[in-house]
Amino acid sequence: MHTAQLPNLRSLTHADIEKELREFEAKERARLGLDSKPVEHWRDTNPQDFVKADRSSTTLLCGGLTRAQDMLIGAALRGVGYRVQPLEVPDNDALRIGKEFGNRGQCNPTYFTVGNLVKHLIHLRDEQGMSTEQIIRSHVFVTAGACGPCRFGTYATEYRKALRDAGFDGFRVLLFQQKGGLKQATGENNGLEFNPKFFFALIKAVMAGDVLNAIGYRIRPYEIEPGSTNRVLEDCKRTLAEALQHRRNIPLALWRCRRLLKSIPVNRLQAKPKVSIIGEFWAMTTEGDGNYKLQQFLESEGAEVDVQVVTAWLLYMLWQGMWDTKQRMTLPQDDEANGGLDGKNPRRKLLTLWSADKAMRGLFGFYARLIGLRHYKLPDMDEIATISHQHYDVALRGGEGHMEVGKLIQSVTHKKAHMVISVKPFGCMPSSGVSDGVQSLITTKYPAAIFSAIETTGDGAANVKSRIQMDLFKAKQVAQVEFEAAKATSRGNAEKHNHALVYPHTHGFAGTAARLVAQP
Amino acid sequence: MPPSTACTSQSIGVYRGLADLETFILHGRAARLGASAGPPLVRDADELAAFAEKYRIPPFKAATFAPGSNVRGYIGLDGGSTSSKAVLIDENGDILCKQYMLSKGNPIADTKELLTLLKNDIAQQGCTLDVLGFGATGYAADVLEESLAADANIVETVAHGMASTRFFDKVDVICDIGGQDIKVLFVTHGQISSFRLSNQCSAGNGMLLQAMAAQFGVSVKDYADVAFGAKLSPKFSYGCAVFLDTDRVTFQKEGFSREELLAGLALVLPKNVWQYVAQVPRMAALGRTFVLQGGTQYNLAAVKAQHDYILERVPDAVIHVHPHPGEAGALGAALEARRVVLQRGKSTFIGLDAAIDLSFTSRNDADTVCHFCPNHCKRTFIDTKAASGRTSRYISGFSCENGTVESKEKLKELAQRRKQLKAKYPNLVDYESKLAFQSFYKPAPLPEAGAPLTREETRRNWLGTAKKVSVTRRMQRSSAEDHAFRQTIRIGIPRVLNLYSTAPLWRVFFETLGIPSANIVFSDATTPEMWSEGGKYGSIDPCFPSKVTQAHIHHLLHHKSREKQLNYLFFPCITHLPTFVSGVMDSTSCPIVAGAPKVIRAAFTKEVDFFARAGVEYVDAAVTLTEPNYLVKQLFEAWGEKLRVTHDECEFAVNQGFEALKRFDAEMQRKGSEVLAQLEDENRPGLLLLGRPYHNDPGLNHGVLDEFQALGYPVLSIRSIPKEPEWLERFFADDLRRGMVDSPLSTSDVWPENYSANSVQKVWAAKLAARHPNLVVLDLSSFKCGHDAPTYGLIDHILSATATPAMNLHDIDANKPGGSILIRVKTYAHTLKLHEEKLKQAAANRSELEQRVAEKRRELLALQREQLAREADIQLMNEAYQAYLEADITVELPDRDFTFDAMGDTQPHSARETALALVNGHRFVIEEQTDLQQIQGGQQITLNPNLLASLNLLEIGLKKTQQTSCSSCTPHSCPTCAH
Repeated sequence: MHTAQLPNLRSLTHADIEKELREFEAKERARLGLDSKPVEHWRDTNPQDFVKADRSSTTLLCGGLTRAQDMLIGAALRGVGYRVQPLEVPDNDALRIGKEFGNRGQCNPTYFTVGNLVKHLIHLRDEQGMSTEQIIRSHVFVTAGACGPCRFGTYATEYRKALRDAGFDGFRVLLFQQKGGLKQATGENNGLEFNPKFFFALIKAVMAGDVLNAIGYRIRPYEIEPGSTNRVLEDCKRTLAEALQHRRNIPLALWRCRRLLKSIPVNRLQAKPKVSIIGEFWAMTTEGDGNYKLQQFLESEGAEVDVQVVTAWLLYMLWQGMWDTKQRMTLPQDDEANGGLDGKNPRRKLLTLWSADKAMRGLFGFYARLIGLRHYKLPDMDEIATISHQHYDVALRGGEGHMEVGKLIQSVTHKKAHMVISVKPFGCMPSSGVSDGVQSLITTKYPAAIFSAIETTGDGAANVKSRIQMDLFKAKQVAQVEFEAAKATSRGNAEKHNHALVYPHTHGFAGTAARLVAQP
Repeated sequence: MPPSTACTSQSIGVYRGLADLETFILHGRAARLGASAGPPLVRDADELAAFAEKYRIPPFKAATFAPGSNVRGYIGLDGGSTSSKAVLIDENGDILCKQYMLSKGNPIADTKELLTLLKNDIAQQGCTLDVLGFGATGYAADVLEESLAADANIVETVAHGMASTRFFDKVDVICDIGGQDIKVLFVTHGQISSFRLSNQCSAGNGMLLQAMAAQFGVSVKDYADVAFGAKLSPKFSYGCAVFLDTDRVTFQKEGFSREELLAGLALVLPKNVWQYVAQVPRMAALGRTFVLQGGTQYNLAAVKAQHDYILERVPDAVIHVHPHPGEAGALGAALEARRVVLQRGKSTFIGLDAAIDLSFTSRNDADTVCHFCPNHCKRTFIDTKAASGRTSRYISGFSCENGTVESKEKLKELAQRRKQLKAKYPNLVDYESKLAFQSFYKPAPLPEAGAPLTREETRRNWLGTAKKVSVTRRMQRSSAEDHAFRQTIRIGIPRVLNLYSTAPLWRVFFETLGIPSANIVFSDATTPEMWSEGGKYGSIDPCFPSKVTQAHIHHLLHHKSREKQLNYLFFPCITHLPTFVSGVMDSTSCPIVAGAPKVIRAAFTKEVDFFARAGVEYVDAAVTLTEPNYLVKQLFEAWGEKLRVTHDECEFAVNQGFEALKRFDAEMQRKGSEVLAQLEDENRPGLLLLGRPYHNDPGLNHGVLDEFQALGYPVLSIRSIPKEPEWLERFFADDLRRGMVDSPLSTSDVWPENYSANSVQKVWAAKLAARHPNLVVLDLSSFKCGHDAPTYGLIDHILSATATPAMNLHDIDANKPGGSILIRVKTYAHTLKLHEEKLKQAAANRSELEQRVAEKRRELLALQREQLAREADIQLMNEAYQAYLEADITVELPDRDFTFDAMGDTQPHSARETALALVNGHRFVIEEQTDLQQIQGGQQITLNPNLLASLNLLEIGLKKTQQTSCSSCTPHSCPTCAH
């Protein structure tokens, strides 16, 4: 047994004994492999520190909508005092990077958007020579967040994971909640203030982008000179971006755009199938590899594309809040969790949401009229809910919820399109996993519908395009028959109205050409 | 033709020659593809030559012997599904000769042939072969262990690990790519510390490359030569083989050549290995020595792609290709046989000639069908007979343990053993899956009509401002006729999805309303037969747990309802679930799971209304279980008229349902506490299942938990973990102290976006497992699970930080990949065995430490007494000691709490903070107790004189002397006396 060498001058004190024991125990622990280093458990640091003083030296990265909207949002946020860099539209390289650093089994919007951010940072590091520390210090990424239930709400988790694993640990991802209202996370010293000024700038940019996109998709298929629409649209984007960035008169900018658009020579008397693109929000919105450049492909195949505007998504968010409140406000007792009204004032909430809905519709209508987007009707959320509820309970949330079902029914009953494509990422939970199952019943009930549900994986474009071509062939035939029928009722006014900003809205016809010839 | 080319009537149809086409092929194609294409496998011939020089596997030269010599060695055999390999090693473990053959379907026939080939290799040199031991691995190992009395039956992963460490020092990662599967093994101190295996998907394995090459008419042997000829490559995305093939179609359409496509496929292989199978984004964290094994390493294009991929991410990596890449498994088996025989001193192997001459029959007919359960498995009996008369029977092809026996008596013995096993190593997942659907809670009877009901209600004025008021009403009851009506109602509920966690609520809700317990009918647990019969209605392809619901609905309509007519089929759309995790963003169900009832409605009414045909009404109301008051409204709207109940009755029934859920939780936690206490006492690991509620379904977890129970590991479910804060604080004390979380049930420190109820519970359970030494993890996820996908990285980070053993099955689906599961279970069992040894060793070491420290303390105290005895003033001390012995010592304490810390020796205390006493070798610390003079007027404690008999009061006495000797101090400020 080990014997301590103790001083002879005095007897052992208790402190001596304790000290000796501690040393002995430490040695024994080491010998026995019981060295108990403090265990450091893993944590997600989720850095959020972005203060006002850093605003001038920090670039906000953003993106994820259409090209026009990404550009206009960038300009609008610059207009309210931020340095902003919109990311490119995600491509297949972004997908590959997203897959490398993301979790397995994610949907591809996750991979595309997460990969797009990492790709940009890698570009800054490897091509522009910035150090990782410099990138982390001088950039933040801003995006929308959600509380589920689909995995869109976990994108922030994925961003952080991919950034960590790609070597950008500590990079800041800042979220604003899409249902969080106009005032979130504001504070005296916040670098990024999610306040009304911020959100109004966003909304103006989104709506300006919406009306520009919608009118672009209406004109381009009928342009006489190929490429003329895109050239004008680029001019319009620049005009609007300058107005947003320098906080000039947006209505005036829209009016200028109208004049530019009006000058595009078109021939709308071509029977083209109108194809409505619905589905998962990102897959139907992006204009890149994320949906195999679906809009562009359809136009190249001779279709007119009817896209969903981002404003409709915002209206859906508002509708959810109103519906949830109405369902609960008559309960004798309020619940605390989730949508419960405990501690809330339902009347005030309803009034706020109703006002927001009206304001958005009003602003959209105003912008649409200014730019020349005629007869464009934002969806009636109550109507969509009513027609879809029996098939897809409106209490079920995630993605577009019941909206896909409602839109398909409307496209047939209101003759809004000849064909509907529901595009979604492979394994999209609400869309592939629920909507498509219900849509099989809808297409049985409405046999006139030409409906094509496609899942995008990032691969297999050839197969997807072949399927679309097959359905599009049917839609072309329907459009031609409809056009011939419309010609029989023509009053001969078609040529008079055959220019860029005239978009007839004649009941009973889906095709633009048919509407034009049949209009009174 | 370029679009700008003018087409005149003269030019149409005129042949313009091949010049434009040739120009396009030579220059235009590459220019057009170049923008989107990736780099080639090699830049030039020099790079290829240098690489081939370094990594081409040298041809094997078998050992030569002097004619007439007797060669002694061990044989290892790897019986794979596509090929079988055998090696003969000498007594030092060096390979003497090896053989390879494509499997012909029967493992014994293949083995006999391989052994004959090995024997001939030696015999051809005029030598004899003395086999000292025999080891087997691969899917044939079990049958060979039985029929040849093999010395070692070793799982492939461990065999590959042994083969690798035999040749290379300090291996960090072994990547084995075989014809059918991919194994990535992580090695620490020469032992497999973790592993990843491919699932049934073939993406990235050798077979994929072979199949792709065959499509272009290229032999797999020529693959590399063709692929190295490419000047660019298409960029494939990693993923499953089906997607790779669709990608291939797209690239072919875009104009990529055969060489380029093969190069692209070789380049995607490492992505599939490291990103898809191993899911390792930061390879540098794994270490720097990588060993590439498996038959695919003979394909130099695959090796080059792996080499470049690894070096790009781990610049200082050392990459080896195993010199016997295809026979690594067999080599590992031989090495293990050698180890076992040397340790045991003898071999059990029946002998080389006996094995070669072994006669066998393989039967698969009416007589071999198992009749011990309704599955009627078509078993195969392989009977062997050696020349010595030794016989054996190996049974395969059964789906459950019953298939391993042949008589009722044996079945009884088996049942008895199983019962003992269940009691000794409980499987709480299985228990939970049964308990959830049983009638275990008798609901309180509905209050009488007119009985007073008092509750707090919300009243709002026209501005919406709320006021809570107490309201007393009279209970409203439905009529006796309505009650009698309800007693005739039969309701079918599918045993699926979140019903596994909420069934007690639904059962008790209906029972409270008067529906007899026997009239609440659940479908059976999922079986392959049920799926095969009823899985035919779907139009979409979501995850299997969601798809399988159609089979349960079919089962209820076509079996349960036919046995006795059902009136309703209830399959609620559960949008929100209760959760025990605190501070969550929300508590939602997965949208697929929540929407599944609507998909079922569409599928069963699309062309034919199967519900109407069966005379059953389908009820699929949306319900929110996190809002009890709203749930009452939802259920009253769904059931009020159908069951003729009043709102009050509905409300009462909902409350009873929640009570049943509470009892369900309490019972599971009670069982969990017992198991955990036992594990802690015995220093054994228990398996915690991280799964969603439906993974309790044996048809969905494919019985993998039973495999671990059979190996002696109790299985716990998340629900069975005790949730009392007092118990949890043992594990989360540090997190709470440091303010990382505000509750032991929080996950905010690891996952802020925590709105998915079942996912966040998995993440919380992973946190607990990382802090509980006796818990190891099995993480189950179904293929395509969107709510689990975000948790993969989180759970991996959480468990890796503490090196908590974990096994993942992330892609479980309809089919049971038996072989894949078995190899994982066996490999994980190997890890668990090592972990258990570590636990026991640590416990033994702790015990030794305590003992050694106590001995040391006694030794030092003895020494101290001895020293004091020599000092002059010992007499004074003895007098003081006698005075204490004789007095009834009373110590007064201040009016505040104090603590005794029996482990005071781990925390040093300053003299100012403590008064010390030593009792029977334990030191008791009265914290915050400065000196004995300060405690006047406070509480009093009386110390037991018997206790004081062994009390060393010397320290107190000295301290008191020292403190009283200081005359100039003010309270709490004197550095001299620590007053």
